[in-house]
Order: sequence, then structure tokens, then C-alpha cells
Amino acid sequence: MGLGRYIGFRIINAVVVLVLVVFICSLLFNTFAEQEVKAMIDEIIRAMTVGNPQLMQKLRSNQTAYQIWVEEQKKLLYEEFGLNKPYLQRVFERAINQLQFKFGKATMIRSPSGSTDVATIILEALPRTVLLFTTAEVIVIIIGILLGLKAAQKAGSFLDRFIQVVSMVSASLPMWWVGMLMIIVFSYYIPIFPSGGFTSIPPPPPGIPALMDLLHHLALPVITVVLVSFGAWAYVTRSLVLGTLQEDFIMVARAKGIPERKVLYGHTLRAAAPPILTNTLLSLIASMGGAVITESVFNWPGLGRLYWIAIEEFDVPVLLGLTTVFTMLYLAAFVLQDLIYGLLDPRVRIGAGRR
Amino acid sequence: MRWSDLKADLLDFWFQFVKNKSGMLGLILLIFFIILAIAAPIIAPEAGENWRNLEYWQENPKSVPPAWINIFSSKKLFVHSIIYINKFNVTSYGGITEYVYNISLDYNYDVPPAGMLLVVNAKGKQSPITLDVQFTRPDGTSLRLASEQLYPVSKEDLLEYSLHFGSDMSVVSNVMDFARKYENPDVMSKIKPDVFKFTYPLFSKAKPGLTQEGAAEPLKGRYIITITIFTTEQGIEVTGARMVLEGQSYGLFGTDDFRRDLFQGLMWGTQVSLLVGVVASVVSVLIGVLYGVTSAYLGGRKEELMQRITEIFYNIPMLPLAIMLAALLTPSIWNVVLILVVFGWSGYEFVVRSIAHQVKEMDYIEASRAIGARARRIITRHIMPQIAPYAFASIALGVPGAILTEAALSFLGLADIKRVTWGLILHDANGAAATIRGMWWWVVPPGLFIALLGLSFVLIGTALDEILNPKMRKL
Repeated sequence: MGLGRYIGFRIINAVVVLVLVVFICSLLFNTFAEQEVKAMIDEIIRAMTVGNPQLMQKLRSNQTAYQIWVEEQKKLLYEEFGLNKPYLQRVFERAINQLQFKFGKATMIRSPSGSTDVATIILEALPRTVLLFTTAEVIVIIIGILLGLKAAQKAGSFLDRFIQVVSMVSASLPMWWVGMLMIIVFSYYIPIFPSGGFTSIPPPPPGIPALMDLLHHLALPVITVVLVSFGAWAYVTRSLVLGTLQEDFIMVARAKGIPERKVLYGHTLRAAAPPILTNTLLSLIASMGGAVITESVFNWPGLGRLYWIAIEEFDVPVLLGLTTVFTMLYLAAFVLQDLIYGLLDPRVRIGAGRR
Repeated sequence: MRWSDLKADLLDFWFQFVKNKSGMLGLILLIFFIILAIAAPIIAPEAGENWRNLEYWQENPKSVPPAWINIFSSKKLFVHSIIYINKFNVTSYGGITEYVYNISLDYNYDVPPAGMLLVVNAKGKQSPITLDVQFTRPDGTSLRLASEQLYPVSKEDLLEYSLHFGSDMSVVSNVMDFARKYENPDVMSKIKPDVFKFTYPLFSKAKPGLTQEGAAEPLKGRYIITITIFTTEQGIEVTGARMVLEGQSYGLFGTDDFRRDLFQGLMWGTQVSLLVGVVASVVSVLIGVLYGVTSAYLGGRKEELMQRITEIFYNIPMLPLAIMLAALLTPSIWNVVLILVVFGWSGYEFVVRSIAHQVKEMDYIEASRAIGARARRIITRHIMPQIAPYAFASIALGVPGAILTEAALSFLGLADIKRVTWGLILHDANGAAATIRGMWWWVVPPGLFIALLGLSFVLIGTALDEILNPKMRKL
């Protein structure tokens, strides 16, 4: 199986999963979403009667006629909103709309710019999440690789054992709770960082002060993510590098008298790069869940806090939209990981690496 | 396999496990949590179901730290205490019955109680009682705190009378009269009775400043609170009373904004975490093992199909769908377990299938097939024993993830409505902005418990992995 076919296969798999997830969610939440629409229709009819005194006068005298009129209007509006179609068709159309990013209007939530359109709300929150987690992951990767290499170099040393312990402990730490601890320590007892939010209120003038303000707000959430993630990540690097260090070609390189630094950063790291990179992406995907909840602790106005609010308000359109977007991001990361692995590891390209 | 063999194997395993230090540490931690979970219904039988019933917690102090911080602090906070009175000195004369009791209180704190509450229990006919409370201080001064009629709240023939000292205007004015004798007239004239902290003058030295928090100097020593109850009618009998001195610190873990005892919540939360973590992990691994072995054994097209299904499950992002499902289903821990299993089993299936494939190629499988062994025998006798060690380690290593996900769902507000969970306690803490108010006792313990319980399973799982899978030991 060539690389093209391999990636094509992975993409098809991802699309199947996406369609399945979206369809199941549409099926599960169709009733809730339609309840909102029905409530809206009732509201429209009420507005029509209240706004038309003549009609009200005429109808008040005849209750049955009023009822018939309401039913007629309801029927018309149901048709307009497509509620009279067969159930499965409605679910299907909802799923198609979800896949086209037509998430409809939110019931309660407004975006910071005041829009009720779910796609806009999500689109405004997404870059903030990306900013926070790309920054954090870049730091995690750098620290992880450096520490992992150092630990592998001196297996069994203090640093090595320290990394093992840290990775073990952080595996069971809830990241969002560490965030809460950070706020207690660094905004309450030693107030050097803001406890949450995206900018100061009122926001500073644009330019350098705005950037500094953003970094100031970014610091605590980033430190939290880094603190919880770097251990596991360093441990993975250490294991992979240690495995490579025992290969024959490393022994040859050392025997040739190549300096240890060069052996480590040139030969070993290069050979261990594909699994290290894919593991980075895997750890990134895995940390997405915890990271999203961490956001709501810091009031960081990204996808995570949107989730928190959507659950509190039970805003179904926003929940559905978030799930679709989240699933897409997740699957895209998976495909990207496969692509990078395929590019870097020739075994995948020629087909021997197929599991 | 005979029983004696099994026993020998188990003993051998145990001896190896005991030698593994981190494994033993994990086991000790786990035993601690199991004791906590078992103790919950014994120590606090009603707390679990009443966690959301805020009436139940009314007599506790609000948002106070644990009592043990007094050891580390120079400013001793009054520790919440309840004095139960079971036996009064009873005298009767001319139709009036008089019940007297002297509470003696050794006061060695710097911050006085936040409030006082007296509850009198009686039995019999519904009728008012007259209550008289005399407060004698270590410096010899004394004052009458209360002298008034109380009306009961009744439940059949059980009567309950209660007096909240802080919100009773006659008590407050009695205390203000007492304070007026020593306090600066200027300060006194500015005090509003409805926000007056009446415990400060009661427990402070009789000199100017005694009404002001910060200026008041604590008066340490033995206080005597004399409670006298008169009943004027026949057919009523006072059975007991309790004096609640609302503390500025409480118990082992303090209280939250809703006056709930956090220790009781933590104990009950242990049950949920243990249950969800262990059940979800065991069921996920079992399904993964059965599915993987079946798929590996069937081989060919069927395996291909089964593998596709696994891949679909494996690629579904767990948290968003778990959030959706938890929001849709009635929040209960069994639904959380269901969600965890549905999205959890596929990860194990991959490994199980690859182990099964390796075993399948072994010569002894071919040999047993050659002598006519059936599929079932080959699977149960040859393949399963090879997979069992992996499965046991996986169960232990899978628990922390399940605990974390359950906690995350609870934290997002999708907790079981009938139970207390650690995640729910943290949800409430986050909602009440406990972090920026420095209420560490509300935030630190639940998360620490989540982490420690998870860690105990990681330690045990790693130890199991080392002992049972020496071949597959990683670098």
C-alpha cells in the first residue's frame, strides 16, 4: 500500500467516523432541538396576535375560530421550518446541515460580538483555544525532548527517576484542578497573575501594551498545561531514545569516535524522530479533553468555556455545533499524525509497516 | 489447574508483589481509600443523600477552614462545637417546672464563635416554654442573654424550640447594653443592630474596642452559660437540648459556602470514584479481550470487518460525545460507566488482538489443533492464559482514566443527581469562585483525592505489569 493510498484510506475512515458521530448526535438531540423551534413558533404566533389589534378584536369574540386560526398558522410555520417532514428525513437534514457548518441559532448564548449564530460563536472562540494550546504544546515539546534526551543519556540517574515519577503522577492529575491550584497560589496568595479572562478590563491600548496584557493572561493557563503534560512527554521521548541508543548503528557511530553530542542530537534523535513526532500529536489529541475543561477554570473564552456555558444553559444548537467542530479537529489531528508518520517512516510507505 | 497449584502461584505472585515498593505503596493508598468508602455510610449515614438538601447542613458554619489550621496559626479560630444536654436539674413548684443546666466552656481562642444557636427538644402537648440564658464571663461580669418565650415546631408529639441568638433582636440589644458600659460612645452610636457581631463583646476583654473585630482582645478562660427553661403547663416534658457554637473553623476538612461538611462529601465521593473507575475499567477490558480474541481467532474477512468497527470506535473523540450523552441521559453513575465502556474498550482490543495473533502462530497451538482440540479449548486453555496478565495490568492502568473522565463530567455539571462526587465538589467550588477567595480547603482535597486514587492504581498496575509480563517489560 503506497503512502497516497494509505492516507486516502485514513481520510475515508475519518470521514466515516465524522458522519457517524454527527448522525448519532443529530438523532439523539433532534427532539430537543425541535422543541426549541416549536417554542419559537409559539412565540411568533403570539407576536402576530398581539401586534394586530383588529385580528384580536375579531378573534376574541369567537374562541373556536381563534383556535382554528392558531392551528392554521402553526401548520404554515411548521411547513416553513420543515417540521412536517418525516422524522428520519429531518434527522438526516440536520446531520447534513451540521456537516456544512449550518448550526442554526443559539437559544441563549451570544457571542462576544453579539451574534446568535452558532457558527459565528464557535468561530470566535476557536482561535483563542488554538492560541492557548499551540503555545502550551510548543513549550511542552521543547521541554519534553530536552529532558527526555538528558534522561536517556544517563538512564537510572536522578533526572531519569524524577521524570519517571513525574510522568506517573501527572497521568492521574486532573489538569483543570491543577489550574485551580495555580489560581489559588498565583492570584490569591502571591497575586502576580490575573485569575482568568482574556484581557484586562478595560482592555489596554492596542500594540505592545495589548500584547503584554494578553501574555500576562496567557501565562497561568499555559503554565498549567505545561506542568501537567511535560512529564509524560519527556518519559515517552526517553523511552524511544533509549531504544534507539541500543541499536547497532549508534555503537558504530560511537566506535568511529563521533562526539557524544553529535551521536545524541544527530544520529539518535534523527532515527527516533518519527515516533517522537507522532507521539507528540497523539499526546496533543489526548490532552485536548482535559485542556478544554482547564479553559473554563481560567475563564478563557475559548471552546472549553463555551462547552461549560452550553451545558449550564442546555443550549442544544451550541452543544451540537461544538461536538461537530471538536470531532473534526480531533479527526484532522489523527489524519495529520498518520500523514507525518507515513512521510517520515519509510516502512509505512512501502507497506511493511501496516499493522 | 489444581487448587494447590493455584495457591502456590498466588503465593509466589504475592511474594513478588511485596518486594515491589511502589506497588505496595499503591496498595496501601488503595486500602486507605477503600476504608474511606466503607466508612462513609457508618460515620455519616445521611450525608450522601442530603448533599443537595441545604436545610440539612444549616447548623454548620459557613465557608470556614478545617480546625487543624489552628496548630499552624497564631490566631486561634474558634472550633465549631455542639454541646448536647441530656439531663437537667429539674425542680417543680406550683405547676411550674424548672429545668436548669450549666454549660461550662473553656475558651482559649482568638477569634470568637460566628454565632450561637440553642435548640430545646420536648415531648408532649404543644405549648410555649420560657427560656432564660445567663452568661457568666471569666472576669466575673455577667449578663442575661435571653429571657423570652419560645414557640415550638412540632412533629406529632415531639416538639422543637430554637433560638438563633444572632438574629434575635432582644438578645442583640442585651449584648449591646452590656457593651455600652465599656465601649466608646462614638463607636457605639455607629453600630447597626442588624449587622452587629454580638459574639465579639461576649468573648472579649471588657474595655474600649470590644465590639470591633480587630480591636477586641480575646478574654480567655472558663465561661458559664446557665440555661433555665420553665414550662407552665402540664403534659409537656423537656427531653434535651443542644447548644451550637458556630465555629470559625470546622472538623477535618472545613465547610463550603453551603455549610456542608466537606469531609463527609469526600468520603461519599470515594465510593463513586472507586465504583465508576473499577467497574468501567473491568468491563472495558473484558469486552476488549473477548472481542479481540474472537476477531483474531476468526481471521480473514470477519476479522477485517471487526477491525473496521473497532477503528471507528477508537477514532471517536470521547469527551465531546461523553458530554453530549451525559447531558442527554439522566445523570447517573451507571450512565457514566456506560459511556466510559462504549468509548473505552477499543483501545484494549488492538493489543489483545496482536497478542492473540502471536500466540496463534505458536507451535503448541498447531499441535493441539492437530490432535483435534476444539476452538473453545484452544481459546480458553492456550490463548486466554497468555492474555490474562496483560488484562490484569490493563484493568489497573485503565482505572485512573475512568476516574478522571468521571470527575471531568461531574466538574462540568453532569454529575449524578443523587450522589456526591469529587468532581461535583470542585464544580461547586469553581462556581462559587473558591479559588480567588483563597478557600484552599474546598479546592485542594477533592483534586488530591482524585490524583492519589488514580496514582494508587497506576502504581499497582505498573507493579503487576512488571511481575506478570516480564517479557514485555518496556525500557
